[in-house]
Amino acid sequence: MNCLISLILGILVLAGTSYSQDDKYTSERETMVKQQIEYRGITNQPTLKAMTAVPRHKFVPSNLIDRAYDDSPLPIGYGQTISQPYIVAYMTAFINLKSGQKVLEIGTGSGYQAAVLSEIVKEVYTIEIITELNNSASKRLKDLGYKNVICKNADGYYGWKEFAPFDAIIVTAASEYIPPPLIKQLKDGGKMIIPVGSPFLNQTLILIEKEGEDITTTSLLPVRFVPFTRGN
Amino acid sequence: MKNGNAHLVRLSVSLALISVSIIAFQLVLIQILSIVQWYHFAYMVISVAMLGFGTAGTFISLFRKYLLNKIDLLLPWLMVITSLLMSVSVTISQTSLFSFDSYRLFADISHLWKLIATYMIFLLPFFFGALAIGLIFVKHVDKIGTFYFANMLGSGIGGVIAVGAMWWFFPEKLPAVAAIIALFAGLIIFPKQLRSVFFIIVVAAVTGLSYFYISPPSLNVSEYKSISKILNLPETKIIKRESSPYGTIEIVSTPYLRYAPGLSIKYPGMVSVNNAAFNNGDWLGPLISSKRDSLKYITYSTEMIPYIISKRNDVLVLSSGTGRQVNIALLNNTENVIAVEPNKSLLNLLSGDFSNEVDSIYNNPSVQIRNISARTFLKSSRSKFDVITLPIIGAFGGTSGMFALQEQYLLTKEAFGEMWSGLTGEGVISITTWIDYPYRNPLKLIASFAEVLEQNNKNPIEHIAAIKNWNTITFAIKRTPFNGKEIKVIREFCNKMNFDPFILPGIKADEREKYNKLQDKSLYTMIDKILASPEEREKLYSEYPFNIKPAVDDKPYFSQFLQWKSISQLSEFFGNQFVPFFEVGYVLLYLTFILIVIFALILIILPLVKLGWKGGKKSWALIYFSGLGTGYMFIEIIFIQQFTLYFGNVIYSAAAVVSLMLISSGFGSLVSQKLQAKPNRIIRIISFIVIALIIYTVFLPSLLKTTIVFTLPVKIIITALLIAPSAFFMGMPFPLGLRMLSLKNEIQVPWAWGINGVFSVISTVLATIIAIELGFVWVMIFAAIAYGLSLSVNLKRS
Repeated sequence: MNCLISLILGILVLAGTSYSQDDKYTSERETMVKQQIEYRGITNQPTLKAMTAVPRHKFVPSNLIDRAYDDSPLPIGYGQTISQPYIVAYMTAFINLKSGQKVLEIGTGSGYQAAVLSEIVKEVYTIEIITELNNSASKRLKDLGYKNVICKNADGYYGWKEFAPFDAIIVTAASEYIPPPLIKQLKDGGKMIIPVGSPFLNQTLILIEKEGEDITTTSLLPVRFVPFTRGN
Repeated sequence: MKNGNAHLVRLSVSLALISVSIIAFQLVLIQILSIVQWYHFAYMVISVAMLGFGTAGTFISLFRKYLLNKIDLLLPWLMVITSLLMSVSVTISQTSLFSFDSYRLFADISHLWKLIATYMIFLLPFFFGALAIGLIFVKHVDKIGTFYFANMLGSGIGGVIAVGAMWWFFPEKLPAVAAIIALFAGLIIFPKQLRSVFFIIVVAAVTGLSYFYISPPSLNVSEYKSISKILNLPETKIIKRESSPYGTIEIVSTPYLRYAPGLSIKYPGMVSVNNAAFNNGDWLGPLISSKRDSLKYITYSTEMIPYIISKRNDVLVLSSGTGRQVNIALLNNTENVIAVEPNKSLLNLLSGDFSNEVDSIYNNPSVQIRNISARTFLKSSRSKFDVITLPIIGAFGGTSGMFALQEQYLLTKEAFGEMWSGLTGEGVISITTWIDYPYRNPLKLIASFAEVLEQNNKNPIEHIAAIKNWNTITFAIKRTPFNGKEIKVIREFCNKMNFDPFILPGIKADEREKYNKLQDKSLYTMIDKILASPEEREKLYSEYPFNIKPAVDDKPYFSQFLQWKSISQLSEFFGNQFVPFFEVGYVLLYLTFILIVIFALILIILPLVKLGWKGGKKSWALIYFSGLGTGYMFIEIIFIQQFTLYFGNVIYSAAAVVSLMLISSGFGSLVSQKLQAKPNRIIRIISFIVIALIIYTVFLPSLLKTTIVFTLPVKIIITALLIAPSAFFMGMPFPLGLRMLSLKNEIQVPWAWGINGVFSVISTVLATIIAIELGFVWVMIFAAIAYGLSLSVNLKRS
């Protein structure tokens, strides 16, 4: 009898802990969106909603879970990082995605950016060359129920011809040049965005716009340059 | 008596051997830490580890009596322990418990603790080795001249042995080699009464060291290093690894690497896959072969600018590396290419085993190789070239200031001046830089060219053209002004490739932004200011948060941009946690200095608890020995800097200069044994050193400049004549001072020795700070001041 009571109490305590943990992260996430994203001037509602919905703490390594909602990028192994929340929001808002669109992401990493995109658009195709990262991200996304994200372990250079053209392409694993196949797979009027910077200093975003045969690039102001006090 | 002499000889040999092993271990550690992290981290860890000498001095001061009573038993054990620690310290430091990552240092607090633990791990072998050396000095202070000679001789030879051994052994195997030498040092002075223990140690040590040699530690390379990132790719592996004093070269085979900086967005084809070379885990370059691909993509790059203007016959490729620029020159039908590359090991690989991988460019009859530093080639060459090209500046996505502390003699105003003089009438200097943000590299580069052109009475606006892509800018600096036809060709090329003219005589504002826009347009206004007039330029230098003043030979730190005055401004814009990543090297240099000064103060003050705070002329010992430690190290650093350019080979010239200095000083010390230790004598010797320093400051650079064209044997003789006499006298004040101190305050001898050791470490870091902030000439001036202080305290005594 004693054992049974202990078991029930144990389950209740665990359930309570789990509930309060979830509660804690929801609250941290809301604060993150308010203080790190909205406060710096991002008003794109789909982006704000997506950032509020995606449980970022489930995309960071377990030893850094307490820092999941910090205003900084975090290491995820293999020399890669999960970007600073503001960068993710900024990129997502900048390409101004619509609900029925199709997006290609090169460099799945933790899968966080893909999850945020999947809250907004119809289909997200994401490619990761590092097998271990691809495996963990695709499992994570599946476990979290992101059914409209399709992962592939491949070389991002070639893009994903079967599902092209894409309304937008985000190249988070940037190389020194823009792979020609990616330009071809971008829809007319589509946007490609590339964050450039060292692992803990992702600052500059490059925007590529395609209008027929005309292709232009714009080196955007580093997002950290947006003053913290814009709200005032 | 005979036995006594034999013991002293054995002790001297033992001391020389432990000195050999300590220096060799130090150089090996620098190599290993440069592989697993970056050079500046190696430098920082070693600086702290070398405080082991100061710690030993403090330890002897505190426990002098006990240690001296047991010295015969302690000495061999200390050396055996040093040997053991040398062999295990690298292995321990590479375990997941202690292995730290410099990139994560500012993002994850656990890496700070790991770093501190790493300091401690590497401090221990130096501490025990230094304890043995210090005890010999203190015990035999009456014969300090002889023992200091053994110490200096051993250190000098150790440097040469370590550099030579790097050709034969991989760095991770070398700690075991250094440890064997330390073991021998201990074994030859082992007391006869402990013969059974002796044999046990020999067997255990041979077994242990053989194990560490056969199974060296696997190096835990930072996940943020270029080689780690590429090895994460599937089917990617190291196919060749070669060790040399230049570092460890690795050739990586991968089906995924494509390298095309500055590639036009209009390029319709595929970019070929290349293998690549790395040095100490850092990117060296791709191994490009036209057999795999038509290589047309190379011609779709901003780097083509010198070749689209006119046909080129003579091309000079400086720091040619894996030969990408050589390839571009050959693709443009250049008749003569001179490829200058200092890394002998890389050249051996690319002209030998991997020749086919690079289309045998280094065996091509049109290509002549010069195995020398690019700057030394420029200084000594009288040839003229149609094109002079340099490696691309910076790295894609930035370097986080990893090269801030690196002396880059190829990017100084003097170097650009020499390139300018080496151009034919229609010749062009071509250099590409990544567009960084905040803007730094393009600004400093254009400022350097503007100043060089003005010095040559040219109007920069007429002689500079530059084109930009979304992430690169290629500059062309032409000996004669760009003419209308050339300007037209450049404009047409830009239109064809989706590039924008960036600087061009008669450029219109809207031309700069046709295909590749910058949201922050201040780059254009700043470039225009730099080119407008010296006054506008100077105003910009003082207003801009980063240091964009051209680098000069006296301050050859092109990649050093951060300024203390701007840190608060940058923190405001970017956030505190991001600022260190602008220039990790620079921030760490100061952190290291602060850390060492704190340690040093503790080490200097602690013995005073036992020695007493007052009396005993402690201020004399403090000033005298700190002055000697500082002065000696400053001069050593200056000599390395000056002779590196003279010989054109960093590794060999550094090894030669340090060894020559140490051995000459060792002989000076030996001769000093015959001299009476009196203040007047010390004053005369130090006066000679100070006068020599003043002469060096005034005449050395011009003397070396004049004789740089001489043959190698003549240059070696000149070097020996310049270094040996002063180094000979620089070896005297320390043993004379210790002997003088021992006559009245013998108890202070270990403290004084420790002070000298501590200041040797402080001055190494301080010299870099002075060189960055003020210039190398000030290091020499401060060396003279340091010796002057040591002299002044003797004036009072005499």
